[in-house]
Amino acid sequence: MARVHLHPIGDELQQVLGPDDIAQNRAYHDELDAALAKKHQTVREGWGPKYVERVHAKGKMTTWERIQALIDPGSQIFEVGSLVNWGRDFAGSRRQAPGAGVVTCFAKVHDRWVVVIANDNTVASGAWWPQTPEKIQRAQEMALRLRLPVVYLVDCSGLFLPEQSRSFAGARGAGHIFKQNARLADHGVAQIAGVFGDCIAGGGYMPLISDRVYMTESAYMVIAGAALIQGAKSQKLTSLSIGGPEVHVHQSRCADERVPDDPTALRCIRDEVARLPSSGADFYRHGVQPAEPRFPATDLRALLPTDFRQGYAIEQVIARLVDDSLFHEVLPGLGREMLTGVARISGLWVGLIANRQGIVEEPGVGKRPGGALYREGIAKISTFSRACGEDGIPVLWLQDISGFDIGVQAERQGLLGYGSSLIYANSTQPSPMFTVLLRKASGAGYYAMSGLPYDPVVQLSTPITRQAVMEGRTLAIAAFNSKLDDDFQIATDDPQERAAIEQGMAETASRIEADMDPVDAASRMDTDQVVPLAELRAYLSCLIEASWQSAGYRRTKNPRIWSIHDLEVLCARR
Amino acid sequence: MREAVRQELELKAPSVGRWWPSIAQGTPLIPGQLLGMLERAGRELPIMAPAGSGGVAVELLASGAWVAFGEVLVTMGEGGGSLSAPVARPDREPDLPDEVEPIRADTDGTLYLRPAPDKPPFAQVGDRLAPQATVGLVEVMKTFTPVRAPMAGELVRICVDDGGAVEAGAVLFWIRP
Repeated sequence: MARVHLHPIGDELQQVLGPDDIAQNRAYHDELDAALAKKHQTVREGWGPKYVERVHAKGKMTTWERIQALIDPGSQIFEVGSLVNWGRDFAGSRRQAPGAGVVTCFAKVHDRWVVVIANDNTVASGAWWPQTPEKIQRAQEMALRLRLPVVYLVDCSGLFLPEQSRSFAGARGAGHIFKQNARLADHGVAQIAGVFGDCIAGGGYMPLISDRVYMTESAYMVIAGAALIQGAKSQKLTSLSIGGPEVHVHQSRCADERVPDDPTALRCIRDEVARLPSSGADFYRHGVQPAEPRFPATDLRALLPTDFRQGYAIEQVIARLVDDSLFHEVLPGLGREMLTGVARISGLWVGLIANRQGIVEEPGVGKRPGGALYREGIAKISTFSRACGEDGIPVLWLQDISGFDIGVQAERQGLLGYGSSLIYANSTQPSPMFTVLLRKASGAGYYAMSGLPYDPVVQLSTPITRQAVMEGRTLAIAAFNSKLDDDFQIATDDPQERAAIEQGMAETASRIEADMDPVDAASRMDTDQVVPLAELRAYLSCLIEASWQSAGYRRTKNPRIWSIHDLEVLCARR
Repeated sequence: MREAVRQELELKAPSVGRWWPSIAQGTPLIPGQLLGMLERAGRELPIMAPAGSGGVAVELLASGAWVAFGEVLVTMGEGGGSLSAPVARPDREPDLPDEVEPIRADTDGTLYLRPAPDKPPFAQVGDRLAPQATVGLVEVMKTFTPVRAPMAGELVRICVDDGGAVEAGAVLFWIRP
């Protein structure tokens, strides 16, 4: 019978690591987690208490208060892009732009996952900074891919004008947000907008394509604000009189409903979400209940070593991410540097593709280092990725990859071709893909295993993620190659030249090292979110539930007729 | 005493299933080596040589055999001789007491005894080791694989210098459980 039998994986921490390793790794990750939490807290505070008071003085709620009122009580939200613009200064502003002045997150409303896009009204009155449009579009894209309802909490004073040239005209400039609004509507994704305050220019356009638009008494939507009109037409007006609810709800009919205040608007938006179809997740669980892993996700902080060059057992990691720590490995006998298989997360099927670390024995080949792509492994993950697409199973990539195998044998075997086949498979993957950069995300391996350029719905980093073409030391050797001998030692007897080369190599290596910081990557939008290891399981539960929520837009197959069974029959020994 | 025990080291099936060995009779064995696959309910479970493995496969269950739980898959012995002829272990160190156990290299590479050049060593002779405590790192192609104590015990000898080359299966440390 074509059924998948899940098997227990993983061991108690103490069976895998000595107490010193456990303590040392935990201490290391505790420090990283604390530093990350501090940054997230800073972003969450926006521009601080003074601006919170200003919002309250206008009789409005802050963005975070609105989100709390919107979501199901006690439910957890999962932010994306919270560190966008982290550490960046802008001309014309004494302050930075925490979170690029907008909160984007997955949130639960009436037991449905929705994507919330909410201007942070404590940061320059919700203005759009450089990268704010890209961040909003990225969240819209996630909603589009999973067909999740979008809730816009609009309170936006328009482009931050001193920096307008950096967020206006490009292919992903601010106006592309409205194209995304249109694409969502075109694909039947429900959009609900609450308009809460100054919604000028772009802020005015953003809610308009939404299916339902609520306006509070302090809200106005205008193509141009009063100040601009006074300048251009020498007329004295107030913004509320130009584009308040009186105009847009009753005269222009650009908005649907007029509500007295923020709490009422949020209650109405919740009611609207409740009118949408409920989640299909429970149906697709096929009668199985969600279950926590047998081993806690907090163990991950002890399992992953402090030294990125050290190996660990990926099975132990998976055991802390999947329901009941049960897993079914597919094609275990070859390409053993890669691990492929299926499991359940929150009771729902997911295909996992992960790198094995350390030295791996390949039958018929011998031992070779894991964390790299060899011919058999590439063929295996291409095949498995295609099978998941064929079977409608979401794919979770767990990356810890140094890159493709290189050298004479790799070229003779045609790894360029096998790699391209994998890239084709992933680029045309009809099932939702999610990528977690557990640690190394290097070179073409990052691409081939569905890194962000290959459009996973969401890509998560951890505090120890290292995204780079290559490691700093390797890059320094490549850059200074002409000055090195065959053993990569500096090939000069001149002490002055030697010192200069040494310094150059050290500087190159340390600059590359700094660029690999996951927080910097998140600031540049090279990754969607940095998630502490212990929170990965909860985040993945949200994503997998979200990918099984909406029915009818993508292929789903019952497990009896998965093509994975055919694969296993064909590859079984006789 | 120890030779006799090792002479009869048997690897038993951890589950019912069908046995597909990837080694042949006479294959030298080292810890962590893939011995074969146990197929059960359509899934293949890799069977690896456990810590403390050594010698060669003197007996091997036939490929494709159906096995019961606990059935002997592989019998390990010294030097490929018959079970009745004990052979001294070549890596045995005569000045060490009988009860010591070897910790071997899983792979060829370079052994490091400290986590980084400026850090203290993982362990020193005389240290009490917890099970799975890291005692060294073997580096091959920039990949560092921890060498761990298979059981609790006292570290009685370090056989290779820091930065020394090691071969798969070589004894790196001796531990007194």
